[in-house]
Amino acid sequence: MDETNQPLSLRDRIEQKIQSGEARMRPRWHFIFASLLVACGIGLITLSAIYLVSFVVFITHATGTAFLPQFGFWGIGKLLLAIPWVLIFIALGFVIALEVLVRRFAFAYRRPLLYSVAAIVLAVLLGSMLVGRTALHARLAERAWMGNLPLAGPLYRGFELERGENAHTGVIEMFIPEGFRMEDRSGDAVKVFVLPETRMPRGVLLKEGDAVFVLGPREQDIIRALGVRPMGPEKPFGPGKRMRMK
Amino acid sequence: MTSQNTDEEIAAQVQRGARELFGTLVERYEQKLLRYGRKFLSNGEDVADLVQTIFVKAYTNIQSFDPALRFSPWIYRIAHNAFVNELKRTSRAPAVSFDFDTVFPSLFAKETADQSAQLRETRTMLDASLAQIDVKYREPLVLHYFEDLEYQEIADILRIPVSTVGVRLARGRALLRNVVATHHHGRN
Repeated sequence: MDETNQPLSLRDRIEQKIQSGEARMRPRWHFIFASLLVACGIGLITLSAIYLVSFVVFITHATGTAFLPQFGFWGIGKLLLAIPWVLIFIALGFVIALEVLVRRFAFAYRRPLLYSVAAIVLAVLLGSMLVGRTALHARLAERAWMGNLPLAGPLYRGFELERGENAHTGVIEMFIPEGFRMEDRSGDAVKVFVLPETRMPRGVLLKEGDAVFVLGPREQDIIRALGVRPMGPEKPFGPGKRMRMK
Repeated sequence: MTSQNTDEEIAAQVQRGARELFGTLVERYEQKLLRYGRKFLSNGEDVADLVQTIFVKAYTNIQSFDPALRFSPWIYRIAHNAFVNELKRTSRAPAVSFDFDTVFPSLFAKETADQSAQLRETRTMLDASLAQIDVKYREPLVLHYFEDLEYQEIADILRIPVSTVGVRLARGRALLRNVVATHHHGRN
């Protein structure tokens, strides 16, 4: 009420609040800082997602899991069991977190959710492909095996575990009458018996020094191969001397 | 002087320290926000108090407003948040839930000027049956038919895709017709 007992208008009440200091304007830096925090969050989560996805791709190749589908439905079944689902779900969590952050901006919320989610997934996949073309994970894995990677070391060593029974990777040391001898990821020498039923790669001649993926039951230092596939330019990682980077 | 200035120019001056000009913005938007609140909430909440809170929030956060953009969607966004919070407080049902309409692109046709008869019809129907329409459809209807806001402005206020605004308006109108038809049958 004012002096004439007339109720104050909304404008007057707001102006009173402003003048009395009851309503205070937040400084511009407050909003700039908040925007910077969001931008940093987006950057950090994007990098984490890219790192994680590229790590999953690296690990499936380095442990030979990626070669399992070449052995038919049996291989696909084994692949589904061997894929590091925990990491994939964490990566999906990062994508959801990114979507929530990006949705604050007009370029994202003005368009259907599908578009921004697709853009985020695409960006993460492209980033992962780019990281995959570098030797980042191979170098980190090597440092992990040498014990020079304090934080991420257990991650690399932990996922070197047997990803699927009967799946082995290594480097061919020499050919023997029964097949070949290879150095496995632990640096141990293993004899690989190539049997009549072993599915060998068609049109590829294996030679000493080749990195291979071998499928088959292992008893001590003998693997009875059900299948053998070359790993191409990729190498299995591990403490074995042939797997170290030059 | 200020009566000729745009909302955005006045907001920019307030940002630069002309605090006394904020009253002009209050005057310009008081009735609009009261009407928006009464039609959106339509449950007898104390809209006047809410509108006062909205203006205080607008003043507090005025430095976050970009004068290169339009002022009205910015202040309506603050009002939308305040009204949605009020709905959450007064009713157990969630005021806004996940909407699959925001996920996929959808086709919609914008209304044109020659549909003014439809505009009048929708306004009349809205006045009569507003409380019976789901909040999800009620709000875009109010913003479009009473506050004369464009689809993109509504999208900015509700933070939903422009196509979803079109879909909600079309569905809202259909719901309104159903409500009015049911009401009409009931009386006959």
